[in-house]
Amino acid sequence: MTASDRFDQNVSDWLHADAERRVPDHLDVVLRRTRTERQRPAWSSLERWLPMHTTLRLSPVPRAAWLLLVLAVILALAVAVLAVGSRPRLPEPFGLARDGAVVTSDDGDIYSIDPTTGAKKALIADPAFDFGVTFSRDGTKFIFLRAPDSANLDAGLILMVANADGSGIRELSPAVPGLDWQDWSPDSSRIAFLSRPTRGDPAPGDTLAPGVINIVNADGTGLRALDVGRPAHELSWLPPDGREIVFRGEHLAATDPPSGIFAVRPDGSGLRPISTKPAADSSDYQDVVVSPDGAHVMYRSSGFMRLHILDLDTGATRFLPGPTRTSSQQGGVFSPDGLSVVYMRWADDGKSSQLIIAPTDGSNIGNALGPVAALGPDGPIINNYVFTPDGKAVIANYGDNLTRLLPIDGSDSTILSQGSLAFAAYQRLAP
Amino acid sequence: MTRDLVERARKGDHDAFAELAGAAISRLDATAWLLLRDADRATDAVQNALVRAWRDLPTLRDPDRFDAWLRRLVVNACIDEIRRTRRSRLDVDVSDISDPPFVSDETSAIADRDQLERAFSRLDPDERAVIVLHHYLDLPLPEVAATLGIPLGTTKSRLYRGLREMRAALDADARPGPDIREGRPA
Repeated sequence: MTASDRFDQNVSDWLHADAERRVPDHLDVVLRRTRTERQRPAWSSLERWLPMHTTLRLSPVPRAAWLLLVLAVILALAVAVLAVGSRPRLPEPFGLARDGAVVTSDDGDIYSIDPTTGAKKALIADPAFDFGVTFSRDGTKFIFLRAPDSANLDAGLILMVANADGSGIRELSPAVPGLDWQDWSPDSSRIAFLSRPTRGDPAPGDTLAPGVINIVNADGTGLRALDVGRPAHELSWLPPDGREIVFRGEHLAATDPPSGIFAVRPDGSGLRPISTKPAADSSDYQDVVVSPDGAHVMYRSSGFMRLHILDLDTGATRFLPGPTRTSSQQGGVFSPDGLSVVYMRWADDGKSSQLIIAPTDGSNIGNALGPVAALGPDGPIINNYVFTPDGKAVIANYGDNLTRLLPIDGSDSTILSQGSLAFAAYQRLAP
Repeated sequence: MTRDLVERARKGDHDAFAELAGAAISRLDATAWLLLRDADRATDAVQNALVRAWRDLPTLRDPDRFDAWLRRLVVNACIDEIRRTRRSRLDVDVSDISDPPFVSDETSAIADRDQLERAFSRLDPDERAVIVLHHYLDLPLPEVAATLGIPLGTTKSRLYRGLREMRAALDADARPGPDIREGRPA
């Protein structure tokens, strides 16, 4: 044995001796924490239903003989006025709107649900497995995900678009591994979504975690990926004009930069950090959402899992108060008018959770909304939730496969739908 | 069996995850302790890594790589923690790793625990990680490289550099000062 070998052996012996029983048992703490943590779906986004706007299309001017030109122009203008007058007005991309159709998926088909009667009408019911509906901000179209092989979602998903009535179905992408977290641009002309990074030689444990920001036009053209130099997640177009896309920078590998919140222009330029403090660890800066006015970003910190609101102008942050210092909060969503947030608060024992509606300014700890959700054998049972366009209720999907409409005034909830993938999207209409 | 547990945990089965975590946690704790040298920080790192593992488990592509993936999460959490709390040191480029490092018999002989601990604590987090994965977890170097997501050559370089620095530190500790040099041959 050489001196080098002996030294290596000494190091190995010391490491083994030194490692023994240094850390007290804490498995129970870990399991309490995991029981309060939602798993990240490999195949679907959380609700991304903050809505909508569009542009007007002018009627074409008819060509006619010179002598009839004036009459033709007058006639065309009259027709145009009538057409525009009869066309439903479109909502602004952000803010309060009128409630439209509720669209959801059930076992691979897409349905419209009457929120008052619960009656279902099939919009897309073909052999393909479709789910994950997200309405455009103008409410005229929705995107959804199509699984070419529902038994193997790892094979990728196709981003699809359809008109609000289910007509005009079109593919926007090929099958994309790790397709996740799609969001419409404010003018409803583009969609940003995440995909899994492509690597030639996957490392062990390489995951389906999305990391690449992609943008595609709503007509299926112009699909391209943005290079932001780090894995990305939880993206949103920044209101009011979508000049930037806000995202969480992930720290998935030792070579990745630290976690944080960033913004980048849709052409890939102008990458800049938004978070103003270094991440405490790789779990910091999660549940990133932007306020409807684009002035604030809400995120969840690691540790006790508190929701913070970051002022994009000043860089100042404040947290939403809870009943105790250690109340765990997660999954904040802004109301359409930005004055309230709804989020999930965990009981101190981590065995149950409940939705809370609270003022965005943090002036009080808020009120409970909907039933207490005891932790089930399959994990947390409030999967996702979002305000209705008029801001008067929250639709929430619970782990019992029921989607509930929860009025924020505390009145009785109603069941909107049930099914294995019953994520509901609400169409926005002009007030 | 592990594959079955991973598959169940991927689908949200907490009991399956508890079994996986219970089987792995002592090894992970030891790894984190070795890297961080602090029980509280090691506990935090392992907890954060396990919570992250639970959260991201549905995205794990190959259930057979669960152990490697979990190891990677813990090591990365520890490296993050070290970097967060300690000023970075300058990397020393090692361009030639073909020559074996100089090691004196005296160095090996006097390498007691305290000296090794002091020497190890002076290493960069990346070097610590390679040494722990290779010399404590007994992973072959290609597996160490894969766990850390770095090229094999970089792994070898870090291992060489880390051990060399430990030896240098031990030599420095062992080098007699003026008062104890008395009586020794010059």
